[in-house]
Amino acid sequence: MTDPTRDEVDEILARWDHSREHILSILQDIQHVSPEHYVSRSAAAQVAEDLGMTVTAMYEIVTFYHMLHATPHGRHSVEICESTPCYFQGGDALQSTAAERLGIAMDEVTEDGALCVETVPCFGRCATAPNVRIDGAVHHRVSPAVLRDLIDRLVAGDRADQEQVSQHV
Amino acid sequence: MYDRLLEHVGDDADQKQLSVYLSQGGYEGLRRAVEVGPDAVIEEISTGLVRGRGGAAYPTGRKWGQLARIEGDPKYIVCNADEGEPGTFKDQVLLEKNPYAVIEGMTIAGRVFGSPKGIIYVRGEYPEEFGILRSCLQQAREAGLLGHDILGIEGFDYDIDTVAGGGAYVCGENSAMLNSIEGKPGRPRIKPPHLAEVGLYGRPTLVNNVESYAAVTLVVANGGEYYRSQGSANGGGTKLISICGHVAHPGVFEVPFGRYTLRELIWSPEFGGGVIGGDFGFVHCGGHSGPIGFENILDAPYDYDDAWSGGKAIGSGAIVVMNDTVDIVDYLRQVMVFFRKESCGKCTPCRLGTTRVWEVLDRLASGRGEPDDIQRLRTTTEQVHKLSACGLGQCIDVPILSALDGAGPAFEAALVKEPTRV
Repeated sequence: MTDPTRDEVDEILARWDHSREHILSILQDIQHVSPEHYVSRSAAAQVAEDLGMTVTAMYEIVTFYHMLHATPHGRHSVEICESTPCYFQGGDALQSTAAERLGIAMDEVTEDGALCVETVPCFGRCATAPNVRIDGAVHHRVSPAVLRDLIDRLVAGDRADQEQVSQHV
Repeated sequence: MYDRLLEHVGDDADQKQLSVYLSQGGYEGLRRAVEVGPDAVIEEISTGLVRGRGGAAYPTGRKWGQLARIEGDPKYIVCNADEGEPGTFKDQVLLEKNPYAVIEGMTIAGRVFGSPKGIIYVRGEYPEEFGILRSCLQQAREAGLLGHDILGIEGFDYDIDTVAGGGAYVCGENSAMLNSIEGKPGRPRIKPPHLAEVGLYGRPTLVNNVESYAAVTLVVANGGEYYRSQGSANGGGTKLISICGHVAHPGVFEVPFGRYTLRELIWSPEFGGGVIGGDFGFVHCGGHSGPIGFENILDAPYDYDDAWSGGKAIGSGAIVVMNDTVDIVDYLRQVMVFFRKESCGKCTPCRLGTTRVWEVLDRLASGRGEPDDIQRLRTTTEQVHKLSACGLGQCIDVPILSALDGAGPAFEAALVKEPTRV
């Protein structure tokens, strides 16, 4: 598990023309290549220096926006919409399903760093409620049984990935 | 030239192709804007009775007129595509099905104000739409419809960039959005000064919703008189609405103002198709900061001048229908879960007040209500409404008070409910 390299961060900064206007895209792209989907201290410092900001100002941004994370956020993400159209069409049961399956509370990361389950506000797919977003892909009309299955597959996939990584090391 | 935002769009047509848009009469609006000049364009928008489609319903012609009278160079054109009102997904559909109408409207604004630059702020949760816009903007650039000497007119230089959000409902508030574009935390600014005077990077700035820019394209292409005739005496043209919740056919529909009642929108097979999973319970209109209505308001017209909400029911165009299995107190608690999480924390009444209101609703919903909780709910809500600095806190009274007024007995019943958990 390594954070994005300096070169990777440089490439992302170049992709967005080193523009402070695109700071949220820059930070999201950094999270995307970070195995645990967060903005590490070194990456934050590098971006801050490049854009002429203080590290404090950078952390103000990282901690303000929900989609950015200042601490390791799990290798995979399960996001359950908690806005009313989803919540009252079965989304409420999905929260307890996920929590029970993984033995963690909402917005926590599993101990092995594999998975984070969070509740998120409306992402605009209300016509197919309840919606769950897994690693960025939206799943529609999700039932508790389907969610259990999706989580089991994520966990199994992550385990296989980790074994492969450790064999290489 | 088409006169609707979505109706003319075929299922098969690839609206992401500029050639398809041009074949439908696209960019006639911009050509006409160039021909008639800035003042006439603003006059047409006023004649067309366009009102802001993001939620506040401010007359678009008046907003443009104010910016036109302000000195300052450069002026910036900003499009608010931070669609975050729960239950609202009409901008998403518009950006997928008619992206160039939005881009054309912003280009008309660029022409009117002699602006060098427009920015579309797309919420972080919409990466697909962000990609669609970038591809469409590139096609427009290659066709000479953005960049230098647009339409071959010397000195007509204007370009549009896209900026992605990072997950913050409050960035839908225009001044918060400008802070976010500047690469800062998206907290609202204290107003005045208004954004028309001191906006992006301190410059005069126009901020409109996605659907508002598309409406401008229709107005300028078809004429203000015609556009107005498509709507009602209170609002010209059509509105995109998102119907969802317990209905048979959830989705986005385009309706003329004043032509349908809420009852028709919810039950007609053409629209919502009726309530599923139980009988009708209540409807939450216009987004989370909009009013909640019960059986007695269903015959109100869907218009800015309805008797029950004073037009607040239009808002963002959301129509969230709940059947009678959903408890109104439970529903409101979930609404407040949203507001307390999304409060940016800058002003105390909203930061603390949204949590205090949520606590009361949580007690009531779980059978732990205290004798004076209903009064406390009302008072605290009114304080948050009066004292908060921006629309987020200022509007929480709308759903709560409309629910209290429309379903008082449900709250009384919650007071004597058995506790469901400790």
